[in-house]
Amino acid sequence: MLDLLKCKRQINKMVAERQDSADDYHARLVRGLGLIREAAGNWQSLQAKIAASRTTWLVAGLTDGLLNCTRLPAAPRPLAVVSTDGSQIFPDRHEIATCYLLNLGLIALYYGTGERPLLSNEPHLYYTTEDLYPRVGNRQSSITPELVGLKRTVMEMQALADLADKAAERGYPTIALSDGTLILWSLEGFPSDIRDELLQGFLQGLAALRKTSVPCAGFISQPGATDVVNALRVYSCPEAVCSCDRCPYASEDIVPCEWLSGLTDAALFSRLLQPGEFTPKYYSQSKILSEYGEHRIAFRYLHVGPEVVRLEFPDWLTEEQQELLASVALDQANKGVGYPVALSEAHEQAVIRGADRQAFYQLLEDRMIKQGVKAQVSYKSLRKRGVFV
Amino acid sequence: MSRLHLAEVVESSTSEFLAQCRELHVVPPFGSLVKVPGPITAFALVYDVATRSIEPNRRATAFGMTPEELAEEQPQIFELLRTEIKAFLIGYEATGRVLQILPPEPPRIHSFVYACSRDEIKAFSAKTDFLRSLFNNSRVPVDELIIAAVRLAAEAHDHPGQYLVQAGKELAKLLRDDYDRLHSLMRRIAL
Repeated sequence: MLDLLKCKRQINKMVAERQDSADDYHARLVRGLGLIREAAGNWQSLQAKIAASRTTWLVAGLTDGLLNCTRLPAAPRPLAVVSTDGSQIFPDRHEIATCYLLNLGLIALYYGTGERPLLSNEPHLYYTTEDLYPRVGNRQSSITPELVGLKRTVMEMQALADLADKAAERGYPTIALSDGTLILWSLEGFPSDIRDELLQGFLQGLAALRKTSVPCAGFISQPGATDVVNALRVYSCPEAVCSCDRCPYASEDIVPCEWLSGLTDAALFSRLLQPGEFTPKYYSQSKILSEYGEHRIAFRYLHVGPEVVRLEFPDWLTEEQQELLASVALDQANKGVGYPVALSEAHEQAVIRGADRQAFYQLLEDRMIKQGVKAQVSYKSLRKRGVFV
Repeated sequence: MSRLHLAEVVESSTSEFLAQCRELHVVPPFGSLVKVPGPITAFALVYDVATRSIEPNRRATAFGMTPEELAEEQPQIFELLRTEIKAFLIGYEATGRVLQILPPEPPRIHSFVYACSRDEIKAFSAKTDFLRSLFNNSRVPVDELIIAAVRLAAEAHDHPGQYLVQAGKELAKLLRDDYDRLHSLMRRIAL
């Protein structure tokens, strides 16, 4: 039970502190804008400095400049947009039986052809020993919500490739959108066996997409990434070559790049881009990408009107494909009042609400009782459903 | 008449049913006779047509576009809407006889709903007892439904004028103590 009265004092304090930092934030943002304009003028030397530096944060790799922004053409017609999203019922050992469920939302929208769109979903139930106790680091261990989430991401990518393949048969421009990042950085913490298995599954999806020649991207709304801001940290570093581990200023009170912390790439670009424009291509230096091979991930920021979003895509996309992708992402966001229609419909198809979850366990219980299988929820779960006084 | 069904029963009770239309906006007219084949073929009058979002927690919003622009720019919305009809049960067919009383059991859920052919309308509406069962019902717009049902039935008969006189006599009996209402009904049926 949450005591809101006790919370209130802490809420007041939090808001007051945020207010103080907001004033300072604006000044730093203006300074950041000045710095990026200056750095854009000699981005090649910045590129060299980034390559030579050893930093503790992820720095955007530059190949096409820092601020060469492009205005996007209108999205073509006819056009097909495919997308997937997923949702899950996590394994819960307090429930009647341990299992988990992934539900994929599958969308194909056709514009300018009059063809009926595809809006569907596909549930997948996992209950075998291999599903519930995968080998992680050479020993079997219980599946975690994090692993279920990663498995879902892999399935979303493979389903996206299938949809793209079918849509591309029509012979007109097709693009594939997925929700969120294509950089599976959370795999970094896993032992190599499970990491390889999941990553290979994901890369197979990307390889299948490459075969279809359908440009694909992860669409990230309200991105918190700071890759480009971190490039400015390198630029602003007084040292010829940055080496954060041996930062000579760390012992002093003021680290020269510290004022940039708290700024995001999106905050900068929301003032540098006009709606309908996108940035040049940057490369992510995330460690996991060294295992992506030909599918190394690049990204660009796109101003869709209400916000600046980040589009992540594999490096094999040509400049024309990137433009097509971004112009369609923009068009989709316009149709969806800020967020791509295809992605919000994929979410609607995938989502498992509380009532669905309850109905799922009810079906399972009924079936188990009919089959004469012993079915019992834990005492903890029973107490959560109804507590006596 | 199309052999394809118009709708499918999704809620059913003794006196009425709710059915989801096969195609968006493709509906039998208000007041028209529909049938639901099954162990017993039930007959009903359509008294309500509604189109709304499939998801209870998603409402349709105004886009400010023409239907053509919507089909071009927002093709997905037509998959997210559905048209439903409500129909009031007024009779059934058993052993070759058409009876204008409530069927002994309601149509089964997921049964298909078909529009009635001209001959079926003619056969069913030959007697006008069904008009009586429409009264005493607060859920349906009674007068409007009677007007629509009588007009549509008359069109199916070989001598519409004669049929209107027959139906008028039945209504005069039912409304003998409410001349104003009877007059209003007659006037509008004859339009």
